[in-house]
Amino acid sequence: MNRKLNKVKSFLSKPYNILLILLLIFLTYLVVLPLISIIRDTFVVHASEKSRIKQAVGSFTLYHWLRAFASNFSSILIWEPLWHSVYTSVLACGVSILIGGGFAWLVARTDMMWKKVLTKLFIFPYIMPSWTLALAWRNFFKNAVVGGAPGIFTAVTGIAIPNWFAYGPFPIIITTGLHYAPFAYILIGGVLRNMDANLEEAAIILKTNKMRMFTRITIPMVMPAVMSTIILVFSSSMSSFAVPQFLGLPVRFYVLTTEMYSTIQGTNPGVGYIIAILMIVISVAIMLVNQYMIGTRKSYATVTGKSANISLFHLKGARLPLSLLACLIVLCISLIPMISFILQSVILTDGDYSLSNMTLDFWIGLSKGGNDYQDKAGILRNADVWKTLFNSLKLSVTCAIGAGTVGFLAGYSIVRRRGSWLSRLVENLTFIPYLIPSMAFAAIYLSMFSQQRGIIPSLYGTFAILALIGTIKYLPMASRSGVNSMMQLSPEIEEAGVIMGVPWWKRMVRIIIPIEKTTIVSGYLLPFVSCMRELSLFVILVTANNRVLTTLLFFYDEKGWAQYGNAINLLIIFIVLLVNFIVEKLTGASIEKGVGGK
Amino acid sequence: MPRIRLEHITKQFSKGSKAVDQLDLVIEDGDFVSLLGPSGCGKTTTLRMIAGLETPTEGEIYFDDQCVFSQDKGINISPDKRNVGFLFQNYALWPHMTVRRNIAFGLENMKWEKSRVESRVKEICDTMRIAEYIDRYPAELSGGQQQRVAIARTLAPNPRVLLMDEPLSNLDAKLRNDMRAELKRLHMNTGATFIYVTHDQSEAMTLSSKVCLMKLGVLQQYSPPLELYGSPQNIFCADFMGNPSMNFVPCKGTPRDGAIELEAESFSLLFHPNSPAEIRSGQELVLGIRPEAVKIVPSGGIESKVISSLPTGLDTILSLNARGTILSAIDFGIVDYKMDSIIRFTFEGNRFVLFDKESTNQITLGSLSLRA
Amino acid sequence: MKKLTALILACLLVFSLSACAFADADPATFEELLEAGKANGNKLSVYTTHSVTVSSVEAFANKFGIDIELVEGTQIGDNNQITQVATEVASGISGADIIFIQDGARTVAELVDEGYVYNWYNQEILDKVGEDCEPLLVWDYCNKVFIYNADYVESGEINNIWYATDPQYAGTLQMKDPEKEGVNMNFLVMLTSDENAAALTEAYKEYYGKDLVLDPDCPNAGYQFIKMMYNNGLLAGDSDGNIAKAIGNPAQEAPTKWSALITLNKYVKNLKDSTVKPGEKTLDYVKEMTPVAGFIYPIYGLITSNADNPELAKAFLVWLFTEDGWFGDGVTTQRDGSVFVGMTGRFGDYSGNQAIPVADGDSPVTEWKKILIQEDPIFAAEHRADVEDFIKMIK
Repeated sequence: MNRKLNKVKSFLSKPYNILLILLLIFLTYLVVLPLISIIRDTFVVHASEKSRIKQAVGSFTLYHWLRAFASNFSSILIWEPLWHSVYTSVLACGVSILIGGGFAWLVARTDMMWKKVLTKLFIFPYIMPSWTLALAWRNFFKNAVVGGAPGIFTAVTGIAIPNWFAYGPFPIIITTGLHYAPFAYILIGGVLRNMDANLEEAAIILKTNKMRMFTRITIPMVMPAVMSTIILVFSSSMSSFAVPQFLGLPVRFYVLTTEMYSTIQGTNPGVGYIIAILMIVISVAIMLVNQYMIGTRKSYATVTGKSANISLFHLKGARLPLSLLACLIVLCISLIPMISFILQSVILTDGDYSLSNMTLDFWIGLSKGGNDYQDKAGILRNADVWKTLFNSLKLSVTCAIGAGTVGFLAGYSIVRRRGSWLSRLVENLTFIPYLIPSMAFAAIYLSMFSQQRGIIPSLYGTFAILALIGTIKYLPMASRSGVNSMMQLSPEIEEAGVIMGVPWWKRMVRIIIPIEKTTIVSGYLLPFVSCMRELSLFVILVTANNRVLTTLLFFYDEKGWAQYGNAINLLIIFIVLLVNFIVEKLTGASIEKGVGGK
Repeated sequence: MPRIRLEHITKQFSKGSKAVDQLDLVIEDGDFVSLLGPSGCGKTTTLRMIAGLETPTEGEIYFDDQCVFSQDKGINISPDKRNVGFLFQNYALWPHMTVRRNIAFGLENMKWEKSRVESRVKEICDTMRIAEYIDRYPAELSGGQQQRVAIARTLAPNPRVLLMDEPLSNLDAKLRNDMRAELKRLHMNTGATFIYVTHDQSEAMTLSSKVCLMKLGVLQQYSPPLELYGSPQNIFCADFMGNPSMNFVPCKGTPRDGAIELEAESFSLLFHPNSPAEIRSGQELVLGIRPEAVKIVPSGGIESKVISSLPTGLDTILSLNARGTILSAIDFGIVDYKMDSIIRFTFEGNRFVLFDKESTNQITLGSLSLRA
Repeated sequence: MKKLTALILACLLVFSLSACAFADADPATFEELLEAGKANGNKLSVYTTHSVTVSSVEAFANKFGIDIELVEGTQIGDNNQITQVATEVASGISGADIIFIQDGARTVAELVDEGYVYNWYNQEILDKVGEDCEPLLVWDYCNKVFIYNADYVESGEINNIWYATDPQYAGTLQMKDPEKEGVNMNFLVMLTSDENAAALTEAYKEYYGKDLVLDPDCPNAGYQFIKMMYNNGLLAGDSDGNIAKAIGNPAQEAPTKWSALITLNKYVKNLKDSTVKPGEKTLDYVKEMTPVAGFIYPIYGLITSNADNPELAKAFLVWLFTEDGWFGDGVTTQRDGSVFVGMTGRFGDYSGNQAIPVADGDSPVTEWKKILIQEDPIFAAEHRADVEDFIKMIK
């Protein structure tokens, strides 16, 4: 008995044990319980389902599951959106790898021109919000067939855009693929640049011709990077919401996320929760496939060698055309979208791009009254916009501090107790939010926190629920970097302090934190930038009272206030770029390093 | 088997110093030539230029009478047409192929028949004693095994010339010794020309038929290893070769009756050149004394104190303080000396080297005697 | 069994709605409410589906010198608003004091029945509004009618609602996606009532010259109409504003017989908009249409049961039924400094106070009610899920 007590005492005398216990409680409450709560929610009647199910709100029902999987509606509610999600994601992977990988090859291995500028601009979409290209696409290729004035392209060229080009799977695949092309570029380019040149030289010496070299050496060597790009792009586009919402809905093309949104906002949230669970299952499956592949014999970390000056492939006659093509693609995904936003935010009548049709009223004008086309003040004068902007900043800072701090402490205690079941458990728990697609995660929190739970009051519509979900969702990002940096820090450094009797908090403040300064800073900044441009995590959790800039944009867009919407979009992009620029200047951390940094 | 000739080869990387400067080198057919030197001396660059992986900025390279590179004539034959084998420092095994596929790859490129490829792979695997790993991936092999696979892959197409870039540097000491012996046998069995880059002087000594010692891109000495050891062209060569390294004693020389009087800080010596040499009176010189020429004998003319004694069983390396000058010496057999004890030694043999201090070049070899 | 539960539900709804009679008019006057509200003074928060109310709240606060920390109107769509109000009131979160909401079907079932909001009016309102005080107080009637592009559609060409199913007009009719806009869905639900189905059957014969034959999956002419309309390429847009701009846009590519079932208000907005390019495409709307020319739906003003400042909310409500509250007084400003004009010049909005004149050129609400389908919240609530599922299956 006494021995047990002593054991507990000595266990608790280690600060990292206490930290682990606290984290365990914290994560159980914020990650595990919500998962249980959402399962429960698929078996009860919600208020908006009353007239549908004709049972008391909160009573038990199998209606949702039967409707989702054993009714005439299951193909419309589940299977069709699932199929749409899967095939658009797969093809988006293809586009990413083709464009990003091709660009990587041009940059790393050929004498293409203007490399420096092009690479800077190419990773632009990665910094920007995920819907940027989708909105730009709509600005350009909007057609009158689905409603709305024709877009810039038709206005300029007079060529009518067919429906399949303007909306639906085709533009979703292209814009998603292009948005994630920087992933492919960074991952594959990294391999191409760092790949041991000797591997190719060995092949040259052994008389390998160019074709065989490419297919048998180069391609297989970049395969691991291609695979991780596929995993990354596939799971990102499976969980992407804004793009299919903007480009799929006009032609009733639903994917899992948009179907979930419409059911949760509509009259059957129970089915929405089932879709959320389905998405989590898929995401876990992808992760398992990934892990299985990493475990196979053929896997290898990309061999990096003392790369001698690798000789560049001379494009010769193709140099100029290829450089121009790369230039064109880069402009299409970086500057041209911006131009379209600017244009759309200043024109009065849709589809007319003459100077006389332009005004700055949507930016700085006064409201012209409820009955006018310009019934709101310009966004820079609009109190609502300022309020949400402030809210966005506050939220991003809070999430950054929350995720950064918890992530660092988690990293510290996980590494210190490495090998123990407690440490493994906590590490796995911090990783779970990464596996849950943003919108499904939001659905979970909606189900969990829209009523009082124990001592925690209902958080519905509050700032707190957004801060909480942001912190937890970005925790994997921060704890991963915390773990990695703590792994490199030998425990002796802290033990030296222990021997001299320095108390724990002092060791942290005086020894660990100063040494780990830069990783801690990036542990804070990454969540900040992500939070600033997040839509799908917040869109079903915000109410009129806790709107953030991204959801305000979404709201304006739904309302059809195109000019105001485009202006707000520019505002978001401007802030994200500004923050990114500051981060880069302050820490020297380039955004590329964040890729794949779960 | 070809004779390889480098004429005025220079390699300058984009705006920087020259990696290789005006190198002239002839490698005879069947030679085992080591390119030796400290890191950054241009030895790897030279090797890669011979292979065609690097393009010289000046000069010409000939394989026999065929010009494979000439800046002036604009000839640059690509590596795959030079019929060389190349063994990389990190082996450069393709990680996504099994041992069998790695070795067969080059043979398939030459459009060999399937059965011939198969039997050659089997044969070379037997020779390199890697037959049991033939279906493994490189990541599943130890460093030594990877090394053998790399050699097998390089040798499989029977190259006329085998170029090796520090192939043993990633192995541990014991394995390295085994591989050295194997390489030497391999050289004999294949009869191919071996060009071997290393920074390890003992590796160059033990393996090669000729050593090309380089420093900062400039050839220092090109001769058989024992000659390089016994008659170094300059202080750099003398210092680079041998372990423990040569003792250098600065002194002033005065010619006297065909011999040279040397006045060092702590003692006066008389140097007897093996062949007549001329110096100016009072010329600043450096005397090179190999540790094994410092002979410890009770009757030795110089008294000194033992600063350290490091016995290995085979020999004992001593550091001696003789009237303020520190000398290293080597004594063979199972012997040890007490630290701080006083011993006596003498200079033995006729391979003491006299260098000019200013140019650091060798003046002559000779023997030493103490002056009264 | 299903029928029985439906019946019980319907009875419950009727009961809950008729529980309050006109005798319930609150005796409190505007001045009393305003005073009490100012004294209570912690906040006034208004959720509304109508953009004008947002400015009305600002004008109200300015006009009466209400100096409390938070006076604000927030525009939220009906679906979101219902979820938000239900959740907030249920979990005791301080949210809206008063809401202006459309989509009677869901409002009754999910808010009124659950006791989250209640119907309130005083004698002043009763005097102005009359019978529209019950079961829920109508603040504003809005109508949605068939608006067409007059350059490509002849005047009088569209006169029977079955044109929406005519291949000749395939892919030219737009309306905001009923799944996103409750009132649109309610209109479709109303079409399936026995009475309207009968009218539709007759109109079919008139339009096509033959008897209507129902498909096996269509219980009556209403369903048949919905199915044929969707299958004829109905364009379900994202907002009435965008649709109006789309059908009347001067930059049309090819002549198309565009028409849309959208709020009449957007017709005016678009007229204004197209004056930017005088002499180009214009819009017109249909009043003579068999059997109905569209629909009219109320926006209700309701007090939340956990309102922090119910008095001020009520005062605001009373003021909205005055001419100043509807049109502005020409002096009072909004927060950004512009003068509050309220509903001035606005087509398609009709105050619950029928003494307030309609915009020049528009017709009074009584006239509209005759030719438009009115929303019956009880019928709509009961059949909404059926029609929603039906639409999911056919599209």
